[in-house]
Amino acid sequence: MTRRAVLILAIVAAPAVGGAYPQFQLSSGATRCNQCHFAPAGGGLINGYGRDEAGDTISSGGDGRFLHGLWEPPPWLALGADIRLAALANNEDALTGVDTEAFPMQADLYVRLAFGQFSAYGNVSYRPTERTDVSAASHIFSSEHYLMWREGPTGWYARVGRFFAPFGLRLVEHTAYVRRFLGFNTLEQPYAVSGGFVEDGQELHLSAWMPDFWRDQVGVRSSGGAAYYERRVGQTAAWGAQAKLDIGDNDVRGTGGLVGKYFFAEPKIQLLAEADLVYQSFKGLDTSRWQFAGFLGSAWFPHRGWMVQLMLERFDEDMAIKGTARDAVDAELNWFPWAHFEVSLYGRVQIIGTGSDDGAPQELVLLQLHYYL
Amino acid sequence: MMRILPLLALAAACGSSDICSERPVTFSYIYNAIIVPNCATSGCHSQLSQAGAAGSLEGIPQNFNNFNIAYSSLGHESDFLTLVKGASNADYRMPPDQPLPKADIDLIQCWNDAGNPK
Repeated sequence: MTRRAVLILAIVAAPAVGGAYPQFQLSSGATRCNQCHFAPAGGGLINGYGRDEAGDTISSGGDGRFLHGLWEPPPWLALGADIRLAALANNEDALTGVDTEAFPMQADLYVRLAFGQFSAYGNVSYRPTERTDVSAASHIFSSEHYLMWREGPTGWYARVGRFFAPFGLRLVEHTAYVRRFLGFNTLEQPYAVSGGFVEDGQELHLSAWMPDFWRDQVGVRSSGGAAYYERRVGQTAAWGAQAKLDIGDNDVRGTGGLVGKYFFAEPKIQLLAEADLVYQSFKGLDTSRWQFAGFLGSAWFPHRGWMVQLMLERFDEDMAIKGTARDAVDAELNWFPWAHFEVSLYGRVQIIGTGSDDGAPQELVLLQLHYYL
Repeated sequence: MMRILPLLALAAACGSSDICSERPVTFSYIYNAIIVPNCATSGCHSQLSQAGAAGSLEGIPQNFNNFNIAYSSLGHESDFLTLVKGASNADYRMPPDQPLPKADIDLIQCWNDAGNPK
């Protein structure tokens, strides 16, 4: 394996822990993310309804229950696992050429213990890597662990622990600009306290957080707070508004944005959109900048068990400086042949900079084989 | 044509100076505006992973080195600027998944040319 391939794997192979498919939120008939997930804003381990949906609606068939229904855990216990294998071809630019590799991508275990309205949730992940120059501590970690109280599937809730504050579309792809550059990249979960309410027609999440105090930080260290409000319009549309304040060691960032989701029953296409403006000021420096991060995606469900996606992305690092934006076109084919199984073929073309003399396109093709227990 | 050439040269000169004047040419700015957001990721130069932590980049003050932006294991590269530009004999450039826009590389070039001011 070439050194460059090893470097690419270190980034792309980062597991999408806590990810979810907002593409299914309206298209599957569910209006709330927590109809299928235990977490109040979705992501992570799926609940009994989510497992039923996996077999009955999303996949072409099969039994979505834990262990394919061979053993039913007691009501106070929920377990799960994710295993993901991948192969990629990456063409960074004309300078460095194409790399092709196959590799293990993700191995996660999840457990949730419930006692009435209280629950404890956590995951353990093993990250295989070909890199020999990274710390041993970075191979095994828990990106999410928290205690939660909630009235029920709907109503008020509160939780404390390590998790991402509910914000944005919460896409499964950690490389999406609205995750990658807004503080939601892999392992950037802070320690947080969050509360709010979830109803069929609307939900509100308020969060405050501090940097990881237990293990070394990933990404930009910050303390801060966020608010996310989403309102559903009937069964096929939703809009959201959000704000976030990050106070870092060396900067302060204020983020505001909008989220939109719409499902066309015919021809079964769901649109997803997010747009965020960020104002960043640097401590000790008499300068600041505005940034923009945007995502526009469509998911088409031509047949049960199939999803075809097309996405456009933009991240402008400094809106006042020409040539600091990056744009991406993504396409993905997801096949759910049987409950617990997923095959994904993902392609991405990025234009970095102006796209002319300085922005040679970067192309990536990623094939994933995903099994969840 | 003879009248236009000096104007083009002046325009080019202005463009060059703009790159070095429109943003702070200090490591404090480059570190917080470019390096940390792009390099301190989970699989690379975060505090957690500390990829290549055996050494530090030439020209980067040690008090900024808490993210362990390092190069010693890379062998043929010799400095931060070369890493982000991509050396002629390298098969990658940094960051390998999200190369920097040329405008950012130009800013790092300005910082390098200015003697790596803090």
